[in-house]
Amino acid sequence: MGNQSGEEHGSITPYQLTAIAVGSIIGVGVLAFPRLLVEQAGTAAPLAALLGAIPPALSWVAWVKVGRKFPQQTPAEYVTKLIWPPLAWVYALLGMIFVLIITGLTVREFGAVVKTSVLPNTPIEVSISLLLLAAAYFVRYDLQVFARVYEVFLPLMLAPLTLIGLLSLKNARLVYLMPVITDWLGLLKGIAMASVGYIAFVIGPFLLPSLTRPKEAVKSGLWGIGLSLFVYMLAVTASLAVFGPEELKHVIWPTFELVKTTTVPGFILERLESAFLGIWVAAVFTTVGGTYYALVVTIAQFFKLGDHKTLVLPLIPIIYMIAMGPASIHSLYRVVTFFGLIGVGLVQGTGFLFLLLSVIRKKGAQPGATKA
Amino acid sequence: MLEIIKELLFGGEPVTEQHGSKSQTPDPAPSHVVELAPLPTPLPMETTTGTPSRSSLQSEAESGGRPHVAQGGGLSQSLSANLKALKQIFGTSADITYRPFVVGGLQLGAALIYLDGMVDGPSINEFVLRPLMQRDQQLLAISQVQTDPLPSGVAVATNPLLLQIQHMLVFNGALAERTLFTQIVDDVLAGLTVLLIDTMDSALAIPLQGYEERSVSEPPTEALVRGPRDGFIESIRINMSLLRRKLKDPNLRMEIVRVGRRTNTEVAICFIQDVANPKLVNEIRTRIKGIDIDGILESGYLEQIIEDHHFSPFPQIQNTERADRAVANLLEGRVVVLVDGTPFCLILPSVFNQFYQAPEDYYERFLIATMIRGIRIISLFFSLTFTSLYVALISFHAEMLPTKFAVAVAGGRAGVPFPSVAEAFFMELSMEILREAALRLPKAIGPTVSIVGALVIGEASVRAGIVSPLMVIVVALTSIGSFAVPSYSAAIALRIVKFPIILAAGTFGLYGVMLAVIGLVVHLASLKSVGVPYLAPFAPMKPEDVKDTIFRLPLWAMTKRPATLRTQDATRQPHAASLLGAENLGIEGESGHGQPER
Repeated sequence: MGNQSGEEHGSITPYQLTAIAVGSIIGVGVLAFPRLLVEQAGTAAPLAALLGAIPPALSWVAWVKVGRKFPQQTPAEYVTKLIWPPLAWVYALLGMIFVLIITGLTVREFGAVVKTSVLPNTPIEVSISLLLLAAAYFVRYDLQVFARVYEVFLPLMLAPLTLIGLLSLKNARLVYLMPVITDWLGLLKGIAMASVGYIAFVIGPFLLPSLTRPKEAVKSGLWGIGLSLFVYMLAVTASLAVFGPEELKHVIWPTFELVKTTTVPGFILERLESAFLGIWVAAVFTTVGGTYYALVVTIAQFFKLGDHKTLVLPLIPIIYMIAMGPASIHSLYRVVTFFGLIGVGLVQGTGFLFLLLSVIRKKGAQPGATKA
Repeated sequence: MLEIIKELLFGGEPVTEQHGSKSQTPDPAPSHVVELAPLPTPLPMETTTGTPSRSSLQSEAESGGRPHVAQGGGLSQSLSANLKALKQIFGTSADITYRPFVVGGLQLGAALIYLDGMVDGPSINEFVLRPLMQRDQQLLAISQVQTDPLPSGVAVATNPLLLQIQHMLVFNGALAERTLFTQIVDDVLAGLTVLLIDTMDSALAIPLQGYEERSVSEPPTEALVRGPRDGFIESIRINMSLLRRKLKDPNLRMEIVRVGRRTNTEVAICFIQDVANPKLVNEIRTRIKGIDIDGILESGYLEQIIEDHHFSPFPQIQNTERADRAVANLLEGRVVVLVDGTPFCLILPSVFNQFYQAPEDYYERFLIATMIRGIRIISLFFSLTFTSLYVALISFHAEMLPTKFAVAVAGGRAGVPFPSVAEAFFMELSMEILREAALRLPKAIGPTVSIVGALVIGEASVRAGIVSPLMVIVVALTSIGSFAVPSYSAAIALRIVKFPIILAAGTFGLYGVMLAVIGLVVHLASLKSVGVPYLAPFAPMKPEDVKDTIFRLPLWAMTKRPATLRTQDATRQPHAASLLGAENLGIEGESGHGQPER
């Protein structure tokens, strides 16, 4: 209906930004998140999860501040203005490779879950390819469609774990949550680990120029991080309270195990894990879609290719090969942890770095002269 | 006399001063006369159409959608030449009638041209032929013609003599003067009667149509318990009047556009001027005017040409036979497109949300309406996913079923030699065949199909061990679910989409079902109906509009028109809150202070 409507411009409402944040962040990572945290922080894991949301939140504020200085541009476009161009090239290439890797690893991680739990006879190659193809179909659309899909799936991210969290109260033991702080170093490691959980929101800074109400960018982004924190907290606290710190370290996907122990009295379905995993496909799909989209958009914008759609299909084999890289689940999680920690620096640290550079080198629109 | 008639029937000598009459085009007439003039069948209603329709019509007529009419031919002053030209155009078609006669008082040759069966014969005799032919009519010396007995404002004709005839001799409410052959041909084909008189280079079009029409009756495809019983019929005039009767607002505009090179079908674009978004109306107008096709036989032709996404199974334009539904959508700020010759009108834009809504939702009280809507939404999901969920559970996730139930299922399936996905496909396919057969069969044989269906598919296939009894139940639920979806076209779309999902369920279990549903959601999110996102008001979220989706809130809570449509007048109930103060009427008598003090 003409150009008067916000959505027609490829613009994104604050609610959609929140939905994209939640959809990107919540994904397959939730399943292993409690174990990765408890391995580092022990019973301090819930606290670590809580504090772990602070770095990504601060980083988001920094990204928005940088974005205000370049209101019409995405990071892929203004990186060459902030950094000495040859260095910027290296930096951007590293970023692209990193996003490529986390996309592949996310797909692989979920493929492993599917293979282990619900479809033992289906080759992992097939389920990975299916998910990739679905994501590719999705990423080929433009930004409006992208945002709407996240809006539709937002309830699916939040409802299942809330429900599981409530149902698992039956088996919870408060003593497993004590003491709140064991050792400070472990807590710090846990916080670092927890902030890894938010790196999939790489798409965020790229959406800033397309917002209908740029002033609400900080608020709606923080809402997204907050809602994701809620889901993470539920997963960590509930798993820890049900399994206890020692048992939890030996469970690969504690959140998933939590679902298995949950029974719904008087319900038609006796066990919920297949249903949960079915719904969780959507959560993983939105995560993969988010990083995939960020990847193609970065490439298209950095190399000034114009349209991102043509890049989607050629990238499928590359992502697939990365996904099939790790030999076993154990090596997979070593790789995931390694790249996750790099990602904290690359995704969240870059926000601060860019803000610093833009202030020091006085690039972009200065705060006094920002656009209305 | 005889000469005149002879000349009439066998043609006279060729006319030379054909184009000398060009100066007498109808345009310099007073402005509100112009509104009447170009309309082919000027019913009183159409005067509200205003000038836009006039220009649209004019351009439509002049651009000549009709290849076989002589280009830009104006009428000549010779009757015989005009008749000859018309006979050339219409050929020897059996239903075209030329009725030559002599205008009594004038001793001038004249002729009526009309299509037999499309006009009201007795009326022509009584109100056109009789007054014109009567000899005692003391008419009209040419000298008298100069003085105009009537105020000029009511004139249609510009030719003074024609004006006389119009004012004094033809007893009909709405006439139009015609000077071009294309106009005359269009009029005759539309069922008008055209009066040609010798020595005049303009003709009168007299709307005296009369053809068989179905009477207004309850639409069989959209039955309801409570609500008006009138539905659209095949005549666009009647349909327009049905809209007007329900919506007595001068701002209701109906613009006639003619579509189809050969069928020349009338299409009415209806909207409320100060509610509907002008950009939306313009877009729809442009799309309809851009159509170049030989024939429009049903609104479905139009729908398929103007829809946004041709390769989607989902209908992006709603159709209805119900006048009340059309009016309700007009009030929401949508545009209704009526097409002559079909009872189905189009409603644009339409979103997915509308396909589980029925007009009755607004006539019943809101709690009941909400519950019924809930049932419809459940049946919508049933029809889409129930079979596939069952297949997924049986083939891949049997551990989810309670043990006793799993044993029962296994018992039922014990003799079945096929995998459940094949079973489901077989059953779904036979259900579709049954449905289609029941639809096509004559009413008298209809019950046979249901007997065969019930016996063979229900009973015998289970006994033969091809299908498990549970599968029969599941498939029956799925089918009934799809019948509970109020929109037939949406229900069909869901039935089509169901098959790939069953296949996904049979191959990858719940994982496959979910991937298929995700693909479906992405597809739905990518659709638009005339620029409005298909999943609105959920994506993009419009909190105000969600009041009328899964729930139907009380009418007093829905004070705004759908924000998705960006209407000019967003408010439906400006003083809705004051309605709630009704307890101050002082009629309950329970307490003294309810009484208004005087």
